[in-house]
Amino acid sequence: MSRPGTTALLLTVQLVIFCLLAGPALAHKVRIFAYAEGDTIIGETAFSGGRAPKDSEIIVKDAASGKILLTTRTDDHGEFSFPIPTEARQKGLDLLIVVNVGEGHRGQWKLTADEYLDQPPTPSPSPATGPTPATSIRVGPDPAAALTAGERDGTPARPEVVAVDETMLRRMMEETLDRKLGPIKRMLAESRDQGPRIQDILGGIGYLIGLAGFLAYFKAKANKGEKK
Amino acid sequence: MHISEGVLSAPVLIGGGALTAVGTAIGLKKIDYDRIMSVAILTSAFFVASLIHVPLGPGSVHLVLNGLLGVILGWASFPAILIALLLQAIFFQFGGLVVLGVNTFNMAAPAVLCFYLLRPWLVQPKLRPLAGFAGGFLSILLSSLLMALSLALSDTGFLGTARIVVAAHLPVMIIEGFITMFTVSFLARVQPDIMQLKI
Repeated sequence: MSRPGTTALLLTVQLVIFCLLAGPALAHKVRIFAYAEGDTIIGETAFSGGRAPKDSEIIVKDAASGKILLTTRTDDHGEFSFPIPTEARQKGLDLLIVVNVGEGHRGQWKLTADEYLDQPPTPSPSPATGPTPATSIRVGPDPAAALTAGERDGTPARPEVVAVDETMLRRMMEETLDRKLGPIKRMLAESRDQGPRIQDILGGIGYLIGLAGFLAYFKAKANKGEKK
Repeated sequence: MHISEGVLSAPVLIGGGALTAVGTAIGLKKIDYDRIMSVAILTSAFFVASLIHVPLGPGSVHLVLNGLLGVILGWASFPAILIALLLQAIFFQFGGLVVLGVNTFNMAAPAVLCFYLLRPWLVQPKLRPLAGFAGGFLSILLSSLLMALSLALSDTGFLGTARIVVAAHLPVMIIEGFITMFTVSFLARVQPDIMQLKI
């Protein structure tokens, strides 16, 4: 019986063509990720595969209660940023950031409180921001400050070294780390969410053929039973 | 064409799920021994088709091929699309498990409708290409409308949503029309059995 053979061959060829066409497939779903940098939250959205959803609605919610804290929109590159809502900061809320592209496409990202809360606010001209007062760098010998800094990291403090207040130092390190780690966070988010891979596609087709075999087995058994 | 998780309201989800369950039950009854393999192959085609994207406007749209499944499989489109969407949800995170019922119904119901509407044309060789095109075109149009309806029942007004969704899928309708037309004509010539033209 050549019929099923040729049919299968024909459609396999078709499937292979589809697979090739699919190549660098753009998954039809929206990816979103966000991280804190200073007192702003920066985020990026994309259809996985790269295209950016332009001017799409971003809704920032309290993850626990679902209360909407603020809304904003993405720019031409699918990026967005917003200052950390004061309410979220005060109450230590976990944020659920939702992108709504319309047409039923939606993605979300959870940013937990400790991801943004331990960041002291970036120094601003008005000294009234935030609980930790931005202390200025004290140049010159300052035995007390130098000693505390020295005790912290275990290196002997020398008085001629520029002594930096501990919170200031911590903030500077965090800022640098944020800046340096930003691309890595992005890479991680992207690799966590790659488009469909060829293994997935072939695996899916395998499942379907397997299911067909399963069904055929039972139908064949039923047929036999009828004939007896 | 896939509605994401968390967009639709509970009544829409439950309604879609119930309708899909009924359709799938009918479809499974209609699959006889000889049809199993063609159902599986067309399911695979549907499963893969969603990966072919047409970048367009603010987003991108992809092939669906529900019209092709509809004119060839009839009611069996329901189980076929249900399983393909399930695998897409698991492997590619397209759509989602909770919205599976609604998504299946939105794509399978037009397929079944196309089967009944276009079957008389499909049997006649002269009208076959037209039936193929109409199948591809209509099924996407109807699916878009159903999708807009499901979105509208959950929040915003129907007309606005429908206009956006239908406009976004217009190129897909035309592309699918041609793909379905060629596939149907080709299969009828090479493999008339798979089309079940003589019944």
